[in-house]
Amino acid sequence: MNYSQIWESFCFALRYVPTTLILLFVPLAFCIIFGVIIAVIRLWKVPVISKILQVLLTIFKGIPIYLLLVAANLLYVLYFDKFAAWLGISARVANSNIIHLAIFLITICFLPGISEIIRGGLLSVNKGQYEAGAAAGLTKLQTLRRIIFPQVIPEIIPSLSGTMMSMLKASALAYCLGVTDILNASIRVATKSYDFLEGYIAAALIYWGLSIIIEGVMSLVNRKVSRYQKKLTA
Amino acid sequence: MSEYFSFERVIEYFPKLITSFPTTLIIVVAALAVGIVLGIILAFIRIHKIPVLYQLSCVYVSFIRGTPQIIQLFLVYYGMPLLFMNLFGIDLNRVDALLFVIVAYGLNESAFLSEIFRGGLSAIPSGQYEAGYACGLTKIQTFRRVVIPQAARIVLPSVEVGIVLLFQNTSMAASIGVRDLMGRASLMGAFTKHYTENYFCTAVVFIVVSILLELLFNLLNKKLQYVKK
Amino acid sequence: MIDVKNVKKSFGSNHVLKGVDIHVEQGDVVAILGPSGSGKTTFLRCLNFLERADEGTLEIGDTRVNLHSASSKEILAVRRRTAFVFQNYNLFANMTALKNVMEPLVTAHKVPKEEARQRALEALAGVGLADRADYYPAQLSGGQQQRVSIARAMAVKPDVILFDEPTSALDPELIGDVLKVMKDLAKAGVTMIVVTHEMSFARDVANHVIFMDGGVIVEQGTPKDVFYNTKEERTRQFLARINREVEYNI
Repeated sequence: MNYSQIWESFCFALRYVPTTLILLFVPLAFCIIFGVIIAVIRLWKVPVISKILQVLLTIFKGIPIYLLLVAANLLYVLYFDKFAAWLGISARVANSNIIHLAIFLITICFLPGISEIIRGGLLSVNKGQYEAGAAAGLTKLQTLRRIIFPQVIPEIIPSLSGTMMSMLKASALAYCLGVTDILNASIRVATKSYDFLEGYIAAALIYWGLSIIIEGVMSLVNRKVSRYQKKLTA
Repeated sequence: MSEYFSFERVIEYFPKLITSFPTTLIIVVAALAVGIVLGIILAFIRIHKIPVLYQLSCVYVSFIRGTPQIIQLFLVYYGMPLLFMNLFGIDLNRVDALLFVIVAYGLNESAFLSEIFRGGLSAIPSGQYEAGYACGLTKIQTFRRVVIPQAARIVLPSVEVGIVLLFQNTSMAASIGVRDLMGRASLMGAFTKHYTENYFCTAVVFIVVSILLELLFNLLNKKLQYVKK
Repeated sequence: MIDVKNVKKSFGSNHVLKGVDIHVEQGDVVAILGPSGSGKTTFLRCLNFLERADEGTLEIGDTRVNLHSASSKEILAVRRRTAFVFQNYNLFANMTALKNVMEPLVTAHKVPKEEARQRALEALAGVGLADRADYYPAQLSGGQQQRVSIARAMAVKPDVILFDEPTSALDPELIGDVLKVMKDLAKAGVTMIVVTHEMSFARDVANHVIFMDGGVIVEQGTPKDVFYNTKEERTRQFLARINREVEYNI
């Protein structure tokens, strides 16, 4: 085992932590925004749209993220130029930024899960809270924003924390798109001396650290926002 | 359009692809078996807080939960032959890559299942044990007849998620050259130059099996429901 | 001041309300009695559009709306002139007692924050809970939660407060405090419509008592009329059974 190679990979890969964080937080933001919209549409049982969404979500839930990334990457490389030419735009694969594709795909993969979590959170709020909001003269949106969401957030933070860790780990798969994230950087250095194992160990250590930090921060947040649920200890 | 995608080719490729489905299934079943056995042992260690082993198991579970599965796969793929060579003098370089996949996924599954089992068991109030003992049941009887049935119902949804994920993650095995569904699709894509149809078929299989698994677990869940509303 | 006409409501083939009219004057305290399943709670919920009636009109002050086909704007207008007290309190779980009382003032009635705080504190003092302003609902007893919810209702100075069995979910020893608060409100001239099982409240506080059964009003009048000069057999039976239960409880 080449320990100095682990160290070298580790130091080099640390510089690409921001890329991995982008691959985590940008899709997360998109997922939450669209997840809320989808969850509310399904909660209010908006005709047709909510049915279509349900079918789409079931389909996307079934596709492995690795398959989606590999397939999308190939199609992208093979057909993007032709497609762009057909559309009459001058963009070409060679000068496009692959990280956008990675962000899009990770969003697609986690959207079903996150919208489901949010829907579960919305359903967990007692029906009486909606009625009390209505009876107090609040509009539907006011009730959602001021009464329901503040109660949903602490409810979903534990699941969201788990999903964030899954997203962090899934972002490593962006290596097969050629995005230079932690994993790719770590391997690239190690490959020069054929020390693959060392490269993977270094990457694993960084991801492990990030996971522990995310879990810690989220449990802190959880304690902050769920203050109101605590009973007084008599 | 048919240059990029044609249903004739989908129909042509599908039977060839599906022959590799058993490989995918083997990974799921074998990894699950390894995961359940190891998971129960780990859960036991963590519930009873057996010194040293407890601390080790905590680090182990944290590591598995905190690192990408693709990295775990490569760690096993590159690390296990090295380990066996140095420790036992056994050469694993000629072994089928499938073995490494099963080991890596089994280890991964064990960490997740141990968490799930531990959560399920600790959700059963101690009164249930006491009631069992008070009725004259032995420890094992109480565990088997009172605790397990209640815990099973609690852990079922998490186990379902775990199995569906395990099934979907088998696709990564292709990255070390295993010819499961995904690996086969890549190969045939490269061979026929028609990637779209091959990946389309693979996606359909994954989607259908995921839905079937969900239905199966819904059925199981109904079976285990002892409180009828 | 409040005129409700011909309220009908079915759930599937179950006709819960078969045409109910009531008339309420400013300062009235109306008690609605009746066995469970008589439709009294559904009737109250229809007035605030928590259930959508199949038919009926509501006139409150100068506002007149159809209980079946009101637009969401009209619904909001009615809800902002009324207040509702729920059987299970339904305090906003994510807000302190004070914030709960302020919420309808600030968000629905656009009262400036500082003024809303003052009015909310007064309302909480009115129900004897000034010292619990910063407690979350989960930290309060059922009786305290219900009093906060009454404070939330009266703070907006509504034309009428609708009470849906406000004491039914409470432990017996906590009922007294809530009833006392309601009695104070009645004395202060607040208009109230109260669905209740509390005979003493109906008899001693209300000035108009309505007995409902099977989706219609069977009998109504002053407490004296309904309790002591009962005309209808169904009312007599109901009162006799209730009285037996009361004796049994003692």
